[in-house]
Amino acid sequence: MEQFLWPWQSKVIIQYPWALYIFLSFLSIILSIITWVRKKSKDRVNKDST
Amino acid sequence: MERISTTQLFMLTLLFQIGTSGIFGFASAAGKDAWISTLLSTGLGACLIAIYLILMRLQPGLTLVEWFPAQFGQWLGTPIAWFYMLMFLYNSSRTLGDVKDLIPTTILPGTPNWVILGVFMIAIIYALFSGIEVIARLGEIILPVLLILFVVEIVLIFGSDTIRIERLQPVLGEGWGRVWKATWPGGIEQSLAETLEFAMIWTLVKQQERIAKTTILATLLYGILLSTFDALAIVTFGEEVFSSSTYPLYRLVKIISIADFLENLDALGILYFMGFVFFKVTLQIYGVIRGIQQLLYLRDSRVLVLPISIIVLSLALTISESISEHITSGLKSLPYPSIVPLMLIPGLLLIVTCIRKGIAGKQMKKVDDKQE
Repeated sequence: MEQFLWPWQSKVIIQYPWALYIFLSFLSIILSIITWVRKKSKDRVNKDST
Repeated sequence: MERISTTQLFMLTLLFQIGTSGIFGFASAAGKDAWISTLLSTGLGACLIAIYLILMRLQPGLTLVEWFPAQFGQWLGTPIAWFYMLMFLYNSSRTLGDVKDLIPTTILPGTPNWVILGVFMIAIIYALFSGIEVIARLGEIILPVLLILFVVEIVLIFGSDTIRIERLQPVLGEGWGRVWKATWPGGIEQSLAETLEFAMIWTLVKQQERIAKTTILATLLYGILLSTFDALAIVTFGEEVFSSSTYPLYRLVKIISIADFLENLDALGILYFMGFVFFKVTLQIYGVIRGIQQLLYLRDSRVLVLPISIIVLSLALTISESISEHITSGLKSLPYPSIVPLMLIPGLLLIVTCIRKGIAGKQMKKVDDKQE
């Protein structure tokens, strides 16, 4: 697993071309949680104000 | 809200697409037929860009990060939108990493990478804080200067008496095989498919109806310029040197020698290469900042400028240990996985958008018929 530690590095990409995009996919799911939470709180604020 | 004109869009698109292709040359794997590969890549790339432009037309007023939640829903669309922003963030650090070795091996030997990239990044951060209008005005000033330098370079190379037209012959001597190999998928993706990043900027253009024509025209001009550069490098050095050289177009500037007086113009060449890279990295980071601002529902995008720039800088510094590693990963390893986000997902999005628009159109027609 150690070789996947820095998936954006060229040496990892040369050996495992899909590693970067798989890593980015996981990261995007995690970051999406922030979007969903912020959207929900924004919708609530908009609803309260109306 | 900031706005740019179609002329500015044309110039920014051209500057963005030339980017680092101006440093490394284009399709050098195709040998003496690189110029054919460049033209073929441009033709196919323009078709791909047309798909992006149709997507923009089908979803007016929406940016790239809004396309996916609008068509696929929040649960699937948001992760895909984030994925694109992270990919563009990586791409911008790759572009910045492209110049990491250029400066120390050419005009400033021995200078640490972090100094070169750090100083370059300060200029980019300043442009990002100034906003897209300032970046576009800067492009309007810089592009004509760079194009004049390009014409001057061609004239000087012709004056240096190093050109042998027969070096281009036989045309397609080894068939279409290596031309196609240099075109698909790397040639199409390099700079051309990356124009998808402009989907973050297209909503800021004043005359929306002229975006498609402007972008396609800029793409075609890019193809002609790059093809000319490639052909020029081949007739000057020959196939072997062109294909094996890391910076063939830099060598092209270096070769200029007029009457033992006008020579050593390499610093000038580096300056204009850096000009293209500056715009490419700035526009890439600008798109990422704008996208993340929309995904995080932030009012001001400026709070993201410093953190994103620092991430890009640190990624660029650690992305590769050598230039050969950097080029190998870019030309051999990344192109195939990149087909998914740059071609397959936009293609799927186009199909879904068309189906949804078709269904919505039919429902509207039914409602109208009932009302009548």
